[in-house]
Parts: sequence; structure tokens; C-alpha cells
Amino acid sequence: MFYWRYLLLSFLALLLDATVARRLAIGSIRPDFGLAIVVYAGLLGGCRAGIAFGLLIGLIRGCLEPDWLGLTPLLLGLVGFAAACTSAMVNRKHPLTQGGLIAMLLLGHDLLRAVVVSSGDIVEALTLWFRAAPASALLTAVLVPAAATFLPAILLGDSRRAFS
Amino acid sequence: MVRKGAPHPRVGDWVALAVVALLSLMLQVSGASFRYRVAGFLRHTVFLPARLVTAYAVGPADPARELTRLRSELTQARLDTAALVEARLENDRLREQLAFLSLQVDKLVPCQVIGKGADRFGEVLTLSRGWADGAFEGQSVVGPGGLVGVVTGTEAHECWAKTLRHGGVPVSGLLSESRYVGMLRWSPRHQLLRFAGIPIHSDATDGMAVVTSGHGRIFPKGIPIGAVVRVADDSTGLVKEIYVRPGADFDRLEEVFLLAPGSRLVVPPPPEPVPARVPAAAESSAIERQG
Repeated sequence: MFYWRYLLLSFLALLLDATVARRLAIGSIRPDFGLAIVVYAGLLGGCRAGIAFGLLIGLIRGCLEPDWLGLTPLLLGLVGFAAACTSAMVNRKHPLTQGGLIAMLLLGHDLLRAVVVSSGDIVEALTLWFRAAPASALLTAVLVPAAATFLPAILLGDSRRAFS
Repeated sequence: MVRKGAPHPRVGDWVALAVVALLSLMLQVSGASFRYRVAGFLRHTVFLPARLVTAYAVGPADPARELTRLRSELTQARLDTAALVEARLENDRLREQLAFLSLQVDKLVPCQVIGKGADRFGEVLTLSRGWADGAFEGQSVVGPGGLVGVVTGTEAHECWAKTLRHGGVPVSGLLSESRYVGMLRWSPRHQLLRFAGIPIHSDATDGMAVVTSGHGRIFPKGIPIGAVVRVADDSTGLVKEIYVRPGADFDRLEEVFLLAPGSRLVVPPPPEPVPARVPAAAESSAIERQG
């Protein structure tokens, strides 16, 4: 039952990626909801949850770009694991901490990916990374923790509590 | 989803990570065809529900079909126009060979973009045609703006295509007016296609059209790629540094077209000369009466 929840939440992340992320895109910069949910899974659910989410979302994403079918789950699994490892050191319920962690892990994930995609050419990898990663990390780190904090309260009609 | 258990990773967690890492590495180092087969299998079994949420929303059947037909006609018309421009420029040199140019783009196979990879460093589209519908690896993908990319993997009713914005898709291009041939490859730094190998004495200028050269037999000759937007001398002083903006709008692709095998651009036959209008008998008699 617990793992069905993983599956449903992964699909939710993909649905957000396919719908909301396109609306929130600034130019070609889009928030990465899939990675954010992997970070939340690791942060709040522990190592195995982070790894399982990473594997699942990585495999689904890999199906859309089979050239990186193995790389994507590996990197997202590492992201989930790293998020779980840091949860002991930080206040994992604070939106700023969550945002910072999402940004750092997204930057690290993209750097590793850029190095592999550019076949180890560091200059090209840094160019790729610099063009795409920081803006995407910033957008994701601002949007996702804010939404996770305020949306439930707003949707439940308790806006005063949401902004207090 | 509140965390239970110890904050530090335990042996079981490390084992889980190792298993995932091993599985992922095995998938990554296996051959491309195996990865494509695994991806196809997963998409049709375990992740079948995921396809519903990752697919683009498609409108009602009839308007969608109508839109596809109209876009097909538009693409065909633009390819015909490009072919006419090509014909005008090559007319003198290729007069003897015009018989070869009477071939047409036989058929454009319309297909929908049903998925797009979330990779920030490359772009892979999932299209709604597979090998059972005539799609095959290496097939050219075109859109209303020109060349879009190339098919890199197929399954029964879907295929994957890398766009020109993917660094792994080099294209042999031709400067439409000066006829110099070079290689185009996506430059992430400039967000444009870098056109390499054009000699320093070429007369490339901004706005000049770039079309496929037909070299390498991957892309048929004469498909519009884009227009030159920046020309400078390379630091070596031997070649020009040229950047081309692709004609296709990759962010708004919903339908694209696969070129049928062996396609070449057509030079449409010249229009029939219009015969001089002969007045009808009644009109002739009326003219005579007026005279």
C-alpha cells in the first residue's frame, strides 16, 4: 500500500511536469517538479523512499528519452538518497531549507548529467550547465516549497493562517 | 509522509542504492537498441498510466484532423516553395539534369508529438508513428518551419526523434545562394546552429537561407533548415563563423511530418502556357455589329 502511494505521487509529479510546468515556464526555463518530489521523498520519507522515487521517476522519464534510460534513474536515485542523508542535519520542515536543498541537488544533478551528456568535455559541460541549471534551480526552489507550504492552507480557505 | 526511523542511512539503504546504481549502469552501458526495447516495454506495461499523464492534450477528433491536414498542406507548400527557389538558383548549372529533379517529396506522413523528454540539455520527441506505420530509424522529421530532426528509435506505433537542438544531430547544410556546404550542429552557448566549414571567401550574409545539402543521405536535399543570423571570421582566419537560427519553432511543435523513404524535393512542372482567348461566335458577331 505504501508503494502504491509512491506510484500515485510519481504520476502526480509527471502530471505537474506535463501541465503546470509548461504554464510556469519562463522562456525555456521550467521548474522540475519530478526532481522536487524526489527531494521531498528523501527528506520526509527516508533513504529508501528517496531512492524508490528517484528510480521510478527516472525510469518514466528515461522512457521518453531512451538514450539516457540508465543515467536518469541513477542520478535521481542519488538525489533522493542525498536528500535523505541531509535531512538529519537540517530543519526539513522549513520552506527555506527545502528550497535550498532542492536548488543544490538540482544543480548537482544537472552538473553530473551535463558532464555525461557532453562526453566528459568540461568546458561544454559547464556551458550546458550554466545555461540551463541555475535558472531552473532557482525557479523550482522558489515555486515548490512555497506551493507546498501555502497551497494546502489556501485551498482549505484558511488564508490568514497561510500568510501568518 | 512523516519520516520514521533513524536519520542516518542504514546498511539496507546502502544496499538499495547499490542495487539501483547497478541496475541503472547496466541499462546505460547496454546497447542503444536494447535500451529502446526496454523503454518500449516499460511504456506499454508498467508505465502505461504514465503515458496518459505525459501525453499532450489532444483536441476533438475532427478539428484535430482538419488542423493536421492544413498543416500538412502548409508544409508541402513551403517545401514546394523552397524547391522552386532551389530550382531558380540551380537552373543554369543543372539544366541538363532536370530530369532527376522531377522527383517529388512523395508523401508526408503526419504524426503527433505525444511526448517530450524533460532533459534540459537535449531534446527528444516521442511521435505517434512506429515501424508498423512506416517510421524507421534515420527518417527525416520536418515541420512547417523546416527541418525538425531525425528518428532515432522506433517501436510498433511510436518512435523517438532527436531535434536539431540535440547536440547529437549534425546536419550537412548548404548556403542557398552561394552553394557552400558545411556542417550544422546545435551550439548550447548561443542557442543557435553553428555552421562550420564555410570558407572565409564565401559571401555569406545575414538572412541567407540554409537548406539541407543531401550529403550523407540522411536528410534529403533542399529541406529548409533556417536563416543565417550572425557571420564573423573565425579566429583561425580560414573559415567563417556562421550561426543559423532554425526555422522550426521547437517549443510549439504539436504535429510534425515524416518524410517517406527516398524522398527528394520536387521541382513542380512549369505551368501550362495559357492559350490566347478566342472570342466566342456570339461575341464575334457583337463586335462586328459594334464595328
